[in-house]
Amino acid sequence: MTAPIRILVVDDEFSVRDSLQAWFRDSGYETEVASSGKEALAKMGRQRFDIFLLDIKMAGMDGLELQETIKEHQENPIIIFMTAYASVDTAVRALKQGAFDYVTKPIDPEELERLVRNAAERRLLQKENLSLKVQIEELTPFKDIIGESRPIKEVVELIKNVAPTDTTVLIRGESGTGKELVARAIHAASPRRFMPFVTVNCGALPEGLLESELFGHEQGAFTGAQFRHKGKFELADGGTLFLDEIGDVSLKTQTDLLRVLQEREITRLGGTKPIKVDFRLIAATNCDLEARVAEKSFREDVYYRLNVFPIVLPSLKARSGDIPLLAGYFLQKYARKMNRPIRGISASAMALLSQHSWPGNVRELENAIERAVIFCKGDELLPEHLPLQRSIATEVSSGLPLSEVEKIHIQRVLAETGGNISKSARILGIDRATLYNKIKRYGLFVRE
Amino acid sequence: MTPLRLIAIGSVNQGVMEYLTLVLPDSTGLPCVRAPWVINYTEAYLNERGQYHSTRLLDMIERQADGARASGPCLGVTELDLAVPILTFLFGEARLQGRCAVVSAHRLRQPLYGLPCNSSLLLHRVEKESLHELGHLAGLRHCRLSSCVMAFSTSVEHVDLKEAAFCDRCLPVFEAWARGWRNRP
Repeated sequence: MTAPIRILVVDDEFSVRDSLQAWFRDSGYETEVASSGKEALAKMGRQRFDIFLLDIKMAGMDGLELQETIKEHQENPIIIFMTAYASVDTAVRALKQGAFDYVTKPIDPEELERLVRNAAERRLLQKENLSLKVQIEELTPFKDIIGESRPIKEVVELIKNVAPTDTTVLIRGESGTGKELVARAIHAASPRRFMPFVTVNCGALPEGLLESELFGHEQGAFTGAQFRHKGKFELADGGTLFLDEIGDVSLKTQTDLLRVLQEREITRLGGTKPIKVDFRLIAATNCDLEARVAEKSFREDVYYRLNVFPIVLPSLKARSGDIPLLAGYFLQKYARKMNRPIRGISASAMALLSQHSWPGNVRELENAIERAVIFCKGDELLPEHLPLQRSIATEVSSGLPLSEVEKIHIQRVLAETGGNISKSARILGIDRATLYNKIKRYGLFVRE
Repeated sequence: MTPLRLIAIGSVNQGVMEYLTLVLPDSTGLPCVRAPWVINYTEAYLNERGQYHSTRLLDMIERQADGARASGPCLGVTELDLAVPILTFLFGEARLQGRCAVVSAHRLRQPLYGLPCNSSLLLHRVEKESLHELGHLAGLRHCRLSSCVMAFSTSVEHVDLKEAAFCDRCLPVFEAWARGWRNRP
């Protein structure tokens, strides 16, 4: 374990000391406060601090004097000044005298977080080197990729080969084969693992919104844009950007994407200043991209930029030998989650699972097992617990409109889960807010 | 079983309150009730900033809880723009291992950033920030894992990056805290 970063806040205002102490404590920093330069020096005599946050204007010893005294007591201290707009000139002088940076009051939380993080990173770099090595060894990025079949072992081998590089990866495979899981495994096994993994589902956003999502916009870029909005390219800086459903991106956005991939810089909507971005790109699709290129709905140059290292995920049918292993894994996962003492899957239920064609692939299998765990009251999953034999078509009249079928199905799942929103949403394959909106729309129920 | 109390501070979108009442029991295992307390939020107004002092709101919730002899965690939900004098804004505030927290939907709305209204996204964000503040009540500090709900967020983009769930390290602490309340009569 690396020792925590210790911060000393020196300000003569109680509310400033109190708020900042709570703020830093929540972020895991050890924080002490002092109301004057004299008190700060007394505390420094008892313990060593990594970062100092000093108010410039204080009665008695002011911030600049305190900075000089701290430098006499401690080698290379990291000092950040807090100042009102009126005393920015003084803060600039402090910088020239070796302060790390300054912030103006009131402080923007993002600015404060960035400053302290940068300062802490500088301090921690050496301290953490050793412990990070241990943590890296403990990471098991492939633990969620379950299977012993040859096709899945080949996929894991490809991931291991490509992960340590910065190469663009194109993951292809049918819906439900685990494309995002593979993207996350590549990120987790890459040198970028401690930086963000940012996902964009390109198929879910209309063109204009996708552009704003990817590139961000400046304050006042268009009517209503009251604040600056960072795009996903910027958020992924230092990490990995995962563009899912890349085949659904419009030609206009493809052109913009190509520019970013070539120049590695973006300009926010309404902005003029190019911003350098450093991200590793992973894209995924279940489309036949070659056909899209042939029919000119996907740019050939973008295709070649993306298709640098293709990984094709096998369908569950193509690796049906993994079904018992996967079913066992999901059973364990959901039995533990729902606190059910289920030992295993009966031979007849397993035979049923192995015979099914699984058009929805691993996701469909996972949903089937989760649902079966909900139904199972004994210690073994039986065929009757599996949703495979039942079909909504046999239970719902074919004359009903789609919305009515949806309403009936949601109602049934809610009844099965005892009104548990989280479980119902998982079974239905939608998020909780969408389920909540549908419950409201159909007037289904409200749990008291 | 001790309930988790939700307190609307000022006028709060009913959908937000209903949604939290539905989903928070799933995450905490605690029944969720809406406390009909009236918080005089105007006393927390920061004239020069046009915002509301979140620490003062926390104090008010605590006083209400003490007055009502209500045990259990309390979560204030508001649409007011929260801040403390040294910081320009806050999404929420909680006392580490305390009883009361407050969360604001004000800066979680898409139109504030010039983007189309998205009620589902708002609900997700409010849920995440509510869980985050409850996590502080459970004694959790910010988590380094960007996907954990205890990850520190200074912008809505960061809120969107995290999940409405605790990571493997934070979850046992949160569950132990929730269990503690569940086991109380």
